Amino acid sequence: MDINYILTGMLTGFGVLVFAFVWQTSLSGITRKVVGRFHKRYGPKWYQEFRDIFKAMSKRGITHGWVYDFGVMMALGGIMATVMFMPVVTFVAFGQLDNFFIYVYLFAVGMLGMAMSAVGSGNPLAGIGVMRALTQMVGYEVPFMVIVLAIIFRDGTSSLSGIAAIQQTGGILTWNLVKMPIGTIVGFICLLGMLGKKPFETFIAPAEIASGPMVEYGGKQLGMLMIMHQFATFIEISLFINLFLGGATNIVFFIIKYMIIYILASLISQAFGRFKIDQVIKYFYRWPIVLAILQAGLVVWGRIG
Amino acid sequence: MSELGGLIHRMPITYLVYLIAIISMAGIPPMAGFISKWMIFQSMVGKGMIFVATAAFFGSIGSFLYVFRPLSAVFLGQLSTKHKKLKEAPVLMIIPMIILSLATVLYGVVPNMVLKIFSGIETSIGMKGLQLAGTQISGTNGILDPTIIAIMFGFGFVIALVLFLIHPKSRKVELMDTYTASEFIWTPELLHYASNFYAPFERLYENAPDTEKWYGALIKKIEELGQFVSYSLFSYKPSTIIFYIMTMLIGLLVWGGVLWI
Repeated sequence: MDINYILTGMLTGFGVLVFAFVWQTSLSGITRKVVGRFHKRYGPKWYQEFRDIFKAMSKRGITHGWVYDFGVMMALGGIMATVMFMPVVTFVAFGQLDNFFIYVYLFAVGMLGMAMSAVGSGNPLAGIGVMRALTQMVGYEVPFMVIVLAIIFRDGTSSLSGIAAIQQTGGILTWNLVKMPIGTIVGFICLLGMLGKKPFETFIAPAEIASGPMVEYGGKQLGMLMIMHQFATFIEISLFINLFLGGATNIVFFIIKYMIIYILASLISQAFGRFKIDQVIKYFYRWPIVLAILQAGLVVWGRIG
Repeated sequence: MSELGGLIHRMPITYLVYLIAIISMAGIPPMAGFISKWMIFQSMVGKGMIFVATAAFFGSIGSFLYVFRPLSAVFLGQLSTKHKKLKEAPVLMIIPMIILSLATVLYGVVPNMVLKIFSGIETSIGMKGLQLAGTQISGTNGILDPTIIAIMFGFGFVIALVLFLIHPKSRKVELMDTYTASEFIWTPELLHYASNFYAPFERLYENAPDTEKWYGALIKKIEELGQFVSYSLFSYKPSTIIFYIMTMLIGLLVWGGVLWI
């Protein structure tokens, strides 16, 4: 194994990491302002999210034992590793190795770490929140992966930058948005579930279970989980852009597509109430999965799209 | 399981071993379970097996649920008062547990050590062997490098550790001292959420037809048939048994004779 290859990859990955943090955190602030205007409020400054994170990081908080701290580090570490594999325009840490399944399962390390830390805090509300998050995950992951199965089957590659490159060959007409419209709709619904936007906000539910998994956190642990949340959002939206919206040929297009998707998801979130967890599962196993199998069938058996 | 809880404070090594085991079982890198899952998914997706893949995806995500429940119910949460005197597992038990965990991690980080042997067997019996190069495994539609995944996970973890260490130290708080919306609870068992964990999920299929009942009824019917046979035919008298044996032999002879002619 070549040491230079790994070091270059790490450096590129670190670059993607810094970009992801700065961009997603700023955009979160901008989105808070946009949402504020929709509520006829003034809204916070665009750098409000940075303030929140730095404030939390500098406070002296509490700890509930070593698994509480270790889980937070495992969560942030796993999610950061996933971000470092993410292709952003032409920056890919390890070309060819950006396999779709890595994102799904390396992401799960982070989720497992967070769940472990939250339940390790000993608060029953955190336990309920984690149970809901896992249950919801069973809901949205299956339709999403069935759609991606269709894409990988058609393109013959599971490399994310490869899938994006195939879509860039013929302008907007070769995007999966145009070629697989049903799949894109299902993907977007699953994206709302991943992001935890309303109506799929059941596992956070601030007024009902006191923010669920986050209930016991404060200080640097909360700050690290806030950073993790920004990275997780970055992974989910970048996945959607690379899978359905043709990736991006330069950074401007990437930023524009990213902004549209994130602000759209946040605005849709404002129009809905919160589902109960039973309703979330029933919803995902009623329409998205049927449409996902239909779309995959069209691609695999009908060779359409 | 609902009576346990908080064993991490008494059995930390067992907990770590369990953690490694479930990460591998759920097929999460950098453990050995991910490699096999990746290879299975590769071939399923490459052949476009939609229904099998849907079931496999459901099973793979569902495995997060069933591996997490013992983690949370047995090891995390509050330690029950009756378990205060528990001790870590004996050394002779810990040694094999640690060896197996190290093997899981090792084969997850450098799986080609074993896959090389499999590839050799495949080529020797005339199949197309696995495509291995250095630390990489080539599937039908992608390349996997578990070593690089492990290195990047380590890199991410180190960044998180540094972030954690350079910030102010936290104050230790007991597990009974949590936010309970101004409810006073002094019993550890009441604060530990362990029973009926996936109730919403179970509610989904509570009205589904129950195959267990059907099998139960089938078992009962077969038992009745057996009782009927033994009641009407079985006997402790040697003469009766010899009569049966003779009848069977004659029957066989006649049947055989029919066949021979």
